[in-house]
Amino acid sequence: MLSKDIIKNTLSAALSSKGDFAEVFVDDHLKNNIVLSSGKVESLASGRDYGIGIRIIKGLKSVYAYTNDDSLTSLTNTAKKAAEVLGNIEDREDININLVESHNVNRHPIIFVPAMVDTSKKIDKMKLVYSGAVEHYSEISQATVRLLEEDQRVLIANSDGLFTEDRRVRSRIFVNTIASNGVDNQLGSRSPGAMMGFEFFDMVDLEELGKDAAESAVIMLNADYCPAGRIPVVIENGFGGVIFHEACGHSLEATGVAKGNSIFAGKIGEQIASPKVTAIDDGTLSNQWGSLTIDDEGMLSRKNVLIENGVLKSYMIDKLNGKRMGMAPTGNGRRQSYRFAPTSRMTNTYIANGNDDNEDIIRSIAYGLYARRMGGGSVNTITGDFNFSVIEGYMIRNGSIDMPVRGASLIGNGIEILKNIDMVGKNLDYGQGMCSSISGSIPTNVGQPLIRVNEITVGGR
Amino acid sequence: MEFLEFKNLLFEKAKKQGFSEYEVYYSNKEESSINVSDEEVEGCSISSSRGAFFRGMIRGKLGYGYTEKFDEDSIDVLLKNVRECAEFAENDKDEIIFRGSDEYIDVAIFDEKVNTLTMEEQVNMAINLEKRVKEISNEIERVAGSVFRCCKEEISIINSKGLNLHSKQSILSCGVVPIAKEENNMITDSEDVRSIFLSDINIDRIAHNAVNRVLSKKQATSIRSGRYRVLMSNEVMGYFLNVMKSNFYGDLAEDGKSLFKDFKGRSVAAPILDIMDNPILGKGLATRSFDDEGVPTKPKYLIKNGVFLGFLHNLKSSKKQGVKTTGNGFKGNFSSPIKVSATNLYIEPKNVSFQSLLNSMEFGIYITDLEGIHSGADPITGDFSLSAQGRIIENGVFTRPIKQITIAGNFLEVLRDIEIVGDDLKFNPYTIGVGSPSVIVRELSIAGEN
Repeated sequence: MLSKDIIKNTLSAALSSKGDFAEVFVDDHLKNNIVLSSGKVESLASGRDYGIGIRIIKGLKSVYAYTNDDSLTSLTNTAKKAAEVLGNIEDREDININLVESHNVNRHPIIFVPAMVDTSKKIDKMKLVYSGAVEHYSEISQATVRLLEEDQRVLIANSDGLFTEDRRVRSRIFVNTIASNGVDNQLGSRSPGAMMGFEFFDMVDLEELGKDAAESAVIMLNADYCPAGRIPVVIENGFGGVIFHEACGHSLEATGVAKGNSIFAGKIGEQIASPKVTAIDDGTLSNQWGSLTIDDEGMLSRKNVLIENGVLKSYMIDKLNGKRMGMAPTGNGRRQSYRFAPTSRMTNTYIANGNDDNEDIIRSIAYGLYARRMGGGSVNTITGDFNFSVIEGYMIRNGSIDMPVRGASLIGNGIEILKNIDMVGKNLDYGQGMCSSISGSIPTNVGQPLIRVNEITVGGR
Repeated sequence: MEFLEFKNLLFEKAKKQGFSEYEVYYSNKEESSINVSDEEVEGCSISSSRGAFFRGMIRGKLGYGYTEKFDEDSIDVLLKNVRECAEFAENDKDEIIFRGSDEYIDVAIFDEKVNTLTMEEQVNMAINLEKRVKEISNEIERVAGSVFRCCKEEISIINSKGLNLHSKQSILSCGVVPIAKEENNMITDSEDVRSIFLSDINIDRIAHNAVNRVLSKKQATSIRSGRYRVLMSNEVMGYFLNVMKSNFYGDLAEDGKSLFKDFKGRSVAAPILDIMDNPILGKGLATRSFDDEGVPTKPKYLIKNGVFLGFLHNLKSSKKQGVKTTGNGFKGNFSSPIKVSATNLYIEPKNVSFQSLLNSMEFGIYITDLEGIHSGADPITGDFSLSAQGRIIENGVFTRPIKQITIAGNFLEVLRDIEIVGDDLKFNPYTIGVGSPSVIVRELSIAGEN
C-alpha cells in the first residue's frame, strides 16, 4: 500500500516532539450498497474511502490526525502538526525506527471477492429474498432488501517496528418487511452477515430468510400488548445476546474501565455473575461477522474469556488504556476507519453453552415472557442501567409458549442481570450487528444459547 | 493528484465512455478538535480530508459513485461503478443536472480568522473555559471536560453544462460540561456554542451559562402526572422542530411520509405561527448561496398564519410534483446522493418578551431539556414521548426545578396548541440551522409521580 520509506519518515516526523509511541493506519475501503425496493432496484451506491490516520502517544496523552493525501510531504506535515500539540518540534538524530514486515496467515479465507462478481448475480440473490418476503403472507404491504459488501485493506505500522497488512471482506443482507391490516403496521426484519465474500449468499437460504422476516411481522400484527410486571424472561439464542453486549459488554471494555467509568472496574477475581455464566469475546472465530485476523492496532485477535463460571477474569484492552491500567492489550483495539483513533471494542461476544436443556428452561416457568427476537436499546455504562425493546415476544404459561405479545421492553441493571441468569441452554448461535462507540461504528457479533433470567422488569401497557 | 487535474481527467474519460452529461461535487475539509480534562489536553484530533462524488447520465439513465482517492486508477474504478449503477437502477428518469443561474445571492459564511487560528490558541480557549467555570462557583465539583473545535470546508460543484460554483465555510464550536454534587447524586449539563465567527465564542459567557444550567437543577424533584400548560424554552422547541422537520420535505411527502401531504393551502397550526426556511440568514449555520445541485437558494415560508404553503423541494422531487425547485437539494455528506433538506428553519419570533411569557403563566411548566429524542419521537406519525427536565412557574415566577418527567403528545397537536410566541429566537447548537423562540403550548401530557 505505502512504502516502508514513506511510513518510516512519517513515524519519525510524528516523534519529533519526544512522543514515546507513534502509529500509522492506512485504510483503503471499498463499499457497495444495493437497495431493492418493492422488487425494483432503487439504488446501487458504491464508493472508495481512503485515508491515513497518524496517532502519537506521550505518557498518557494522545493526538490523532488524519488525511486523504498520501504523499510524503502531506504525511510528514500532518505528523508534525500533530506532534506540535504535544511539545516543541526538535530535529532528532536519535530516532531510528526499524520496520520489520510481518505477515499474518489470514484466518478468514475469502472465495469470491465482491468486485469479481457480476452485479446481475447479486441482484438475483436479492430478488430471492424479496419473493420469500412477499409471496407467503397477504398482509405484507412492503418489503425492502439491501445488500452490503465491503472490502477493506489496511496497513498498520508503528514506532515499535511493526509493519503489517490485512484485508477484511464482509457481506451482509438485510430484509425489512411491513405487515399491515389497514390500521396498524408491524415491522419484521432479518440481517445476517459474515466476514465472507459472495459465497456467503450461497450459504443462506435466501427465500426462507425473506419468509421468516415476513412471518415475524404478521405474527406481531395480530399480537396483544404485553402486560407489565417483574417476571422471569427466557431470551432466545442468537441476537438475544445483545442484552449481554449492551448491559455488560461495554462495561468490560478498557475504554470505560481504565478511567473508573464502569460498574466492573477493579473487580477481577470477583464473582460478578451467576456460576452458570461463562462469557467470551473471541475475535478468532473463522469467517464470523465480528472477527479479525489482526485488530486495528496490528495485534493478533484472541479468544478472551471475560467471565468464567461467574468470576470476572479479564477485560478487553487496547494499547493506550492498557498503559493506563498497567495491563497487557488483548487484541481488541478497533476503529471504524482512518478517521478514528482506536480504543478497546468487542469482536464476537457471547455467553457460552451451559448444561440446561432448552425444553427444561421453558418448562420451568409458570408465568413469564419468551423473548424470541430482541430489538435495540441503550445503556448508561456508568450506572449500568439499560433498556431494550422485545420485537417478537410470547407469554409463557404453565411451562408452554403461549400467545404472541408486542410492545414489551426490558429494563434493568447490568450487575443485577448477570446474577439473575440462572439457566443456560445448549444451542449457542450468533446474531450480527453494528456497534457504536467513541471509535466509530464497527461490525460485531453477539451470541448466546437460550437463557433464563429469573426476574426482570418488563415494561408494557 | 490535485483536484483540478483529477476533475479534468475524470471528465475526459467520462465523455469518452459515452456520458452525455456529468457533474462532480468536491469537498475539502480541515478540522481540528481539542478535548481538555483537568486543565490539560487529554486528546486532540487534526484532519484534512477530501472526497469527490460523481454523477452522470449514460444512455438516458443516471448513475453515481464517490471516491476519496485521487488517482487515475480510482477514476477508472469510479466510472465503472457509476456505469453499473446506471445500468441496473430501475429508478425514474427525473434526475437533472443543472446548468446554473445568474441569481446567486452573496453570503458571508467564512471567517478569515480561522486561517490564522493556531492550535495553541485553540488549546488555551478550551483550558481557560474549564478554569473559568471553576472560578465562577465553588459549588462546581469538577468539570467532565471542555471541547474546542474548528472546521473549514470548501465545496466545488462543476458540470458539463457549464456550472462552476465554489464556496468556503467555517464552523467553530466550544463547550463545557460542569458537574455539581448534591447529597447522593451528580448534577450535570452542558453549554455549547457553535458559530461561523470566532468572535461569537465568548469563553466567559459560555462558562457562566454552563454554571447556571447546572446550579438551576439543584434539588429538582418530580411532579404529579397530569396535563399542564407548558412554556417550551427556545432551545427545546428548536430541538423538537428539528426532529419533525422531515415533514416539510417534498421527497418524503411523495413517499407518504409526511403529515402535511395534501394539506397545501390548509390550516395546520395556530394562526400566530409562521415557520420559514431561510438559506440567506446572516450568521445562519446552514446559510448557503446555492444548494448541492447548484440551484440558487431563496427564503420561503412553509407555514404563514398557520396555513401550510408547500413543501421544500430539489430538482427531482419538484419535477415529480410539477412545481419549481425551492433550492433545497442537499447531501448529508459529500458521499451521499441528493435529497431534500431544510436550511435555516425556524419559527418566526413575535414581539413578546420572555418576562411577558412568564407573566401569562399562572401555573405551568417550563421545559428546559429533552432526552431520547431520536428514539422517543417519530416524525412520520408525529407522536412523541420524551424524558424531560424543567421548572415550575407560578404566577409568572420560577419556583422549583423538576426532573424525572416525560412529556408526550403529537407534533400536529402542538402546532395547533401554540398560544404565544416569544421574541427570543435561538438556534440550537446541536441542530445546525434549526431554531425557535420560546413558545407557550396550551396543554401537554406530563407523566411524573402518581
